[in-house]
Amino acid sequence: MNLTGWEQLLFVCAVTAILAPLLGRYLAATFRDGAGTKAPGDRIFAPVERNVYRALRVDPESSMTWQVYAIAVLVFGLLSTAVLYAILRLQGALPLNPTHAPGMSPTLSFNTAISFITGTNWQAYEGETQASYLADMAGLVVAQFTAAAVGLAVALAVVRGIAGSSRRIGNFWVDFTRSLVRVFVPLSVIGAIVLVSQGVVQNLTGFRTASTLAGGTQQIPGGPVASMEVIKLLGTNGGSMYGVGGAHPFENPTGFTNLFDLLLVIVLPFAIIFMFGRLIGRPRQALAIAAVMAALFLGHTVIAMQAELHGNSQLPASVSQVASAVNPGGNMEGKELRFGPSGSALMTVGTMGTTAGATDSALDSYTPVGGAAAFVAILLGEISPGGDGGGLYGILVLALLSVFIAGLMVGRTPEFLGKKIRATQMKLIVAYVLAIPVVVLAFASTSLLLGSGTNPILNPGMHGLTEVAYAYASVAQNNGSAFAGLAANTPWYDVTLGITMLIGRFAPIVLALAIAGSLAGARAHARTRATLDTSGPTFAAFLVGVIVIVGGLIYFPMLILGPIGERIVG
Amino acid sequence: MGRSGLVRQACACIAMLAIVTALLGFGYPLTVTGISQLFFRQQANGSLVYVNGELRGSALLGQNFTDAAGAPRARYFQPRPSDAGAGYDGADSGASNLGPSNPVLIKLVTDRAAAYRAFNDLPKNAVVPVDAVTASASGLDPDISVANALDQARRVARARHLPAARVIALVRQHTTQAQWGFLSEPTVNVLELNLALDGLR
Repeated sequence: MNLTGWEQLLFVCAVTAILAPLLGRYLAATFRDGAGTKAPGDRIFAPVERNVYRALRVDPESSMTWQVYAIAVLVFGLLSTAVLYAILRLQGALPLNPTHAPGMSPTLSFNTAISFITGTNWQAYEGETQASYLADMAGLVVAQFTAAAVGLAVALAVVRGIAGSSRRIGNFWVDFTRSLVRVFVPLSVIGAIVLVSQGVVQNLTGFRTASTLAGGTQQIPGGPVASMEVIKLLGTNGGSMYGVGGAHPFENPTGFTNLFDLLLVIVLPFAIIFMFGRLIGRPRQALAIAAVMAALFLGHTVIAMQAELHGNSQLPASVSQVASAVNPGGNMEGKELRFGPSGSALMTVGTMGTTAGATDSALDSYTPVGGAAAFVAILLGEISPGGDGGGLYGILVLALLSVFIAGLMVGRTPEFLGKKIRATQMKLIVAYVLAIPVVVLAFASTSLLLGSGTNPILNPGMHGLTEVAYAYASVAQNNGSAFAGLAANTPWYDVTLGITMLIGRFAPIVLALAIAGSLAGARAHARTRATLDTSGPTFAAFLVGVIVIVGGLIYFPMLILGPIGERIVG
Repeated sequence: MGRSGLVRQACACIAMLAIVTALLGFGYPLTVTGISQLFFRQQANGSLVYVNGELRGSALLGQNFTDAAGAPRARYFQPRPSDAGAGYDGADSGASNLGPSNPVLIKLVTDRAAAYRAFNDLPKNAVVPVDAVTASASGLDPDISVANALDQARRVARARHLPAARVIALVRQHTTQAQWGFLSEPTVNVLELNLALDGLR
């Protein structure tokens, strides 16, 4: 990699290492339990929250069992999907539509509504012309906020279950409201203003027509872009105003915004890990988990940066892909010049280990190795560092699995944070690990057998298989990025991808809550010399191994037929 | 949980949806719009470029410099190939999405390289900068590399009957160095450069 790429990576790592623990401390102070606990900013936030609880007729002091918590999450998801579906269907007849977007078709509305409610933000529609400003603001942005808050709320409940001593794991409405009022909204307002100062647009004007220098005309888009861009990233959502997302100069105008965008995505999931360490009173445990996440993050990001800078070996030698002071070089098909090959790969593949899947370049045109790095980050289960909340409960489940395997290997009773892992938990954990691969592999292979599945493929051969497999894996993990050559706005893909997103979001949530609920009543045992240390480097390395082996074994055949094959044959 | 519990959760859901739609769906974006229009008017409206009161484009968006038949105009620096609609269509941002091993991409790049050499009077074996023959991710990339601009400078100078040195100096003058030294790549903004050529800036 050239110097610029390393400098950018170092900058991102340094800022994350400084900000994530600080933000984690703020989150821990905000979400610490106990009546009468003071939290930072109470003077401003507490009156807002009291009014919300009053409107909801919810007693903020009451706590829920895991079943009630799960039902609140599911009912809220169902109702908000229905409302968003209605907005998308009717947007053509609703106000605030200067671009004259017509109502979306039933299957596209179904797909898009689920996509944003689940935090996936798979976009089968064209942003500029197929969504009204009203739909963007009152529909999609609202969904981006709520999806993020639901993720964080569920993570808090799971932590209480795994580490706490009560059978009750918190109040969904309190967790949800506090996440919005004290984390997502204030950070979004600040972040949006920073983005606008760099050139991200924020207006309600619609298209303006310019007369170009050469005598033609050009439509210049507008829209409330910055306000959506920031929660798209901060909420690890990924859905943009414009078709090409973070590659659009109006969304991501400078090198600064490119890395600021990446930081908006990854700092909060890491901070949530540090919050976890403080909440359970074991900061070393959080450090071990953060180290695992950072190792995986660096793995897929560096590999992709290196591959894209190296360039596309299939292009003729008379095209200069060598980086120099006057030419960024590298694989520039589908990349913006201001970011260059390594900056593009850093931002795009850097967000692939979160559920954001925010891109500043076209993944379909990545080299086989660079594309595979993005793919693998998704397949490992979105834990490097994962979505807001989802990263935490995702890696906690894998940590429980690792404790069990390690316990079998050395002949000790598996326990995590003092609680024994028994058959009840293991059944749920295995269901959690298998739920997504089963859906992904079933739908992806069915698509390859059907004309309605293969006709929308753009690229021939193994690359085409990757387009389809990537689509299902991406939406199942609520990532939402795409090998966008696949023309996915067809009834088959709209509906099956929609179903995949629903399962990929809510099966893990319900299972994680169930695991937490089953541990919630259990007594914590004191640490003895026989207890397996889960916060040391040995366990961290073991956890990486389990993550890679579990993900690898499940998906290896698919990867061979896709990117690995393309690399070897090409 | 009894049915009353379920009903209570559903009522809370409806109330919450109404609250977030009002406050986050309207309050939040309109507040941000207000602040942006007050303090960052130029940026918030798309960094628009007006010449004598007429809107000529955006400093952040590339545009076509072609004649009515779609052929590149020699007197202007040419931007990167674009897959936004028919080229630099601001209403239809997009990439080619061609895979690295796709024969269509290889042929496109080879043909573009030959056309670039012919258009700029470069030797048959000249090495072409990669950004000149590949389409960007947005189809609206406003920039080209310094190497690409320098390769085009002589042809532009000839078409405008200007000394090459003067056009090259203009390229140097309109080269944006990397932000903070490392946050971005060095770039040349094609619209700004062509505006300078036309003596409009």
